[in-house]
Amino acid sequence: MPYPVAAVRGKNFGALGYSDKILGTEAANLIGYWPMNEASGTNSDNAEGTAARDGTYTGVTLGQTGIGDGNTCPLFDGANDFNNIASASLGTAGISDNLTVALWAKVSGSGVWTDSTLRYMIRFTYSTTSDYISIIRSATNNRLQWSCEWGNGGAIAVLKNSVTETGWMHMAITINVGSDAVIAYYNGSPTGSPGSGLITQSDTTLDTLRTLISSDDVSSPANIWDGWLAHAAIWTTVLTPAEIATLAVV
Amino acid sequence: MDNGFNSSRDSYFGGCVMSIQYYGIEDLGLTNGQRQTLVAELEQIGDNQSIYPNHRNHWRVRLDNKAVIFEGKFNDSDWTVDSLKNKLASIFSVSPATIGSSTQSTQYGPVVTYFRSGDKLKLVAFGGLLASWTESHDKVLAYLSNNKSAWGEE
Repeated sequence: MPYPVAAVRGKNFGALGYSDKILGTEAANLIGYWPMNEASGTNSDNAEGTAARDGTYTGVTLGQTGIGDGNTCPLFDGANDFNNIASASLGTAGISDNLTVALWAKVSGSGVWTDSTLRYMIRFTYSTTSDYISIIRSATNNRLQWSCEWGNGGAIAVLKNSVTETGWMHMAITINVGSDAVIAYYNGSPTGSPGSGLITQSDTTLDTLRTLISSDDVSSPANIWDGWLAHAAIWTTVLTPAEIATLAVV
Repeated sequence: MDNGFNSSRDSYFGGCVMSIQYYGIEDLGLTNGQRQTLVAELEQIGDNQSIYPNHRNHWRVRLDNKAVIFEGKFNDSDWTVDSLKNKLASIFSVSPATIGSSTQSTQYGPVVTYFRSGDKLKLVAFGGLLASWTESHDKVLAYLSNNKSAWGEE
């Protein structure tokens, strides 16, 4: 059975919803999943189930048209909106040297690609080592960037240029310290050359100011995403290309 | 000339009109204490019990801590020339009549400068007081784009 966890939950009799797809992918290693489908409120539910890892919205406009799975999503205004997903619980959830981060993103309009502004989709930052993983719209126009620094091994970036997409994009990044490989995925397919330079690290303390959806710093929010974001998730394992390709389909 | 800063929208419920918009203030000559008092007061206005995050007052501070951009669902009356003048007067412990103001039109919206023995505060209504959220949003993004380094944008 492809999605045993979803079947046990019994949420859908018949076709599985997109959320069930995420919840059923490497379920034992899924440590955070924020569908961001709330209609109101400031709480961003962690659908993985650990309430201590819920996020907190600031300023977003909820209830927007989502990726086409029947769920809504928030609009981030490019000025001061974000979802703070940092928590002590997430930091000690077994984050190690094998990780996958994925989410859906859409710009508010074609002008976002040429506004010369770095805009974060998601960022996880560790407080002791300052190690991080992020997926961004680069400050260079029409460029997407998947970035990380792990074990103070130096910044690693995988780039995709000439991006003009105004529809939904599925974004994912995997880091595998054992293979020293950072792989970026765009709409379910690997993109760019794999990055390297990963060094094992044991920091489990997330920086509570710099682990966010749409921004990189709660204390002085900047580089805010201008558009919609949905279904952000993190696994403590490296998802296979086939698994990511499946998640890139609604 | 009105410059759109004291204009009023169509009234509801006895004249209390709320709209979601961006406003900015810039300290031109306040003390640290005066600025902190003003910002603390401004942080309280808006529909802060709303179930919608975008209705609650939320802000962004310039890196030098001398300017703040607020966004939320506000009463139009919260951001008039006189409402800010009254707040400043209270902070200075003086009569509002002793605080002057001048309004200019800028590419981002009307800007009011308050002065009393020198310039003290600048207030901008991004897009103008009658702006839709989209109009106000466009202006604040243009402002941030033109002032990237000051606001921590890369």
